Amino acid sequence: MVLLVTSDNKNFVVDREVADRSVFVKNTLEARGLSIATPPMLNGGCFELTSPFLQVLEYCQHHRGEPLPTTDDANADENRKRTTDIGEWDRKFITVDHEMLFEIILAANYLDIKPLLDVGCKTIGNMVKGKSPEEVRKLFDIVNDFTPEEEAQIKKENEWAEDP
Amino acid sequence: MLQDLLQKLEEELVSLGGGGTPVLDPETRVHLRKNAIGVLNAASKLINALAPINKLPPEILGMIPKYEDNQVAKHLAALSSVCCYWRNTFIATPSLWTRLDGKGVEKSRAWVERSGTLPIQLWVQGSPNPEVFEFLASHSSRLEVVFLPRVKPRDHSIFTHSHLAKLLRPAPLLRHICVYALKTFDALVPMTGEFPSLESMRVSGVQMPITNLRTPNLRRLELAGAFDPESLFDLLESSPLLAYLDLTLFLRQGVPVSTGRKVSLEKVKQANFSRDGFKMLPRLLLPTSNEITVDLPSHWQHDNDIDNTPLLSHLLDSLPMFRQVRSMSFLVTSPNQTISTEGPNGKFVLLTDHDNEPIRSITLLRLLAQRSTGFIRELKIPHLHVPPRHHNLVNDFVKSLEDLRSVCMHDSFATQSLLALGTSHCLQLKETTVWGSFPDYGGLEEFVQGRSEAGIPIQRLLIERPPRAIIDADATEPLRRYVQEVREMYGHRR
Repeated sequence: MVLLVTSDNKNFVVDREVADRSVFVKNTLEARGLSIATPPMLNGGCFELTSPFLQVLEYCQHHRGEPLPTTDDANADENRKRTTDIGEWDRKFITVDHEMLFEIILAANYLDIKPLLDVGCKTIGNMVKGKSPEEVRKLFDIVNDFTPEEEAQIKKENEWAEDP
Repeated sequence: MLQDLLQKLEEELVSLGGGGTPVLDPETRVHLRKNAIGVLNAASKLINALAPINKLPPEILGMIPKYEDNQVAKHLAALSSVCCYWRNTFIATPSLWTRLDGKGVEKSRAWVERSGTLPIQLWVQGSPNPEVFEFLASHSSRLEVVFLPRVKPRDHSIFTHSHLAKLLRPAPLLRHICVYALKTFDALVPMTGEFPSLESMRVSGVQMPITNLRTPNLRRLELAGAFDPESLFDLLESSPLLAYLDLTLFLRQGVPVSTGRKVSLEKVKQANFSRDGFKMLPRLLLPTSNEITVDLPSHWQHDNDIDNTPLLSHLLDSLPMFRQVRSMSFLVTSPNQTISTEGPNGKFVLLTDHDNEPIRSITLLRLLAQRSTGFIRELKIPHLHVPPRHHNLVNDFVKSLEDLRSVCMHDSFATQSLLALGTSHCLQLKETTVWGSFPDYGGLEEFVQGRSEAGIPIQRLLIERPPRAIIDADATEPLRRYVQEVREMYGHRR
């Protein structure tokens, strides 16, 4: 068993097999020969880890024992990213509000859980698929902050992109 | 949005003057407008900085387009137009811009610039733009992939004006090249020199002299067209890692395939030879191949100038050399029928067309019958009609199969084979399958009776002709009942 402490001082005792889904935790444990990992504060302390961490734990528990992706094959990595399919369980798991989705992605990135990062990024990829810039802005509460000059440049570029 | 806000502000300023003379002179208005833009712009950026998705750092946001399929990658320009943060992030992520579609020069220039120093890939799906090829020629040292899968006749200018040839030298990073001309084109697209990274090369319909090509990393080679056999040998010799070979060659009549030259392809696991490609086979040593397919040209038997039968004989004589072959196919005509045999380490398949060109199958059968085929363990011969005058061929061939374990056959070949198998000494035969409309179930009873008299039990007999029957263990009694039942059903009488 491994004790994990989040940045807001919540304790979680989890199986080593579950904890090892995180390459960060795995390496930390192996390097220190300890059974406790304390992830430091993220983003200067404004990131509350507990909430997404519960989600991340659920993901790790579900996928415990599965082989971890290897990091030494760049082609496999690219191909994995290009596959937009998300498994049934993962799809349901990642069906959360936008804020939680982004926090899960951040947590997955910090804890180095590549498959979860993939699921989160694929979900965003699928959300923006085929959408116009205005539709994407609306989806994510973004406003157009380009200057008129930048707008003109972008318009020109988009004409190239549409070249038959 | 900014424009709308500005428009509104200006209208309000105008309205301050009561609709008559503006309260502000034009210079002041321009100045104020500029300031307003700055303020609004800063405000917009602040709003965007607080947007939840923009909490994702550039290294994560920059990955999002990679998670889209290729189709959506086309929308990279659209995604770069969402806001400044997105645009700056994507433009500063070189790996997003390495895949060019070859459609516009301006676009290609921007993509190449943004891809930094990374290797670039050219994937042309529609018509290739010659200007893009001209532009990319100066970046050929960064090319990793050249993919031109459907070059139409109207796009042949990329061949005639050497656009493609310029891309292909020097290209030290080139890993994959695929050029498919939908219609064979006569102009030459020479490819020469050192390609140290080339892993796969697929060229079809283009005349590509491949002199002095050195490809130490080539794993997969698929060529279709009029290639010079000598150059091909050179290429094969310079490709020690080659694992897959597919040659569809068109040789001019009377052109010999080298004289005495042989190349050993130590790592080739699978090799396919089509059209005149099969003429290369006797000159190649394939010590580790486990799958060889030979698609014989339809004219091989009736070629006016060359009698290919000796060559085919030579091929068959080479069979023992391919002890490790798992699957070997000969497509005699259209690939809709097969004759297949399993050797101790693999399978040997003949693809035949009994309706149109039975003579070819018979010729092959004759050639096989004349050779030592005792190593064959599995035999599949669907739809081969054997005229009575050739029954002895079937008999000789089948009886030589001493190590046969499994047989599947149709039609008159089945009848003759069953007769032969009934008195043969292949003790290992475990499974016999018969199909099709062989006359009156001829041979079935003789087969069972012959095996029974020789004291060799039939372990499993499958009859696929309706009604289907699977008869396990000693088939004598069940088979008699079956034949009786079918005869009554169809009213057949022997």
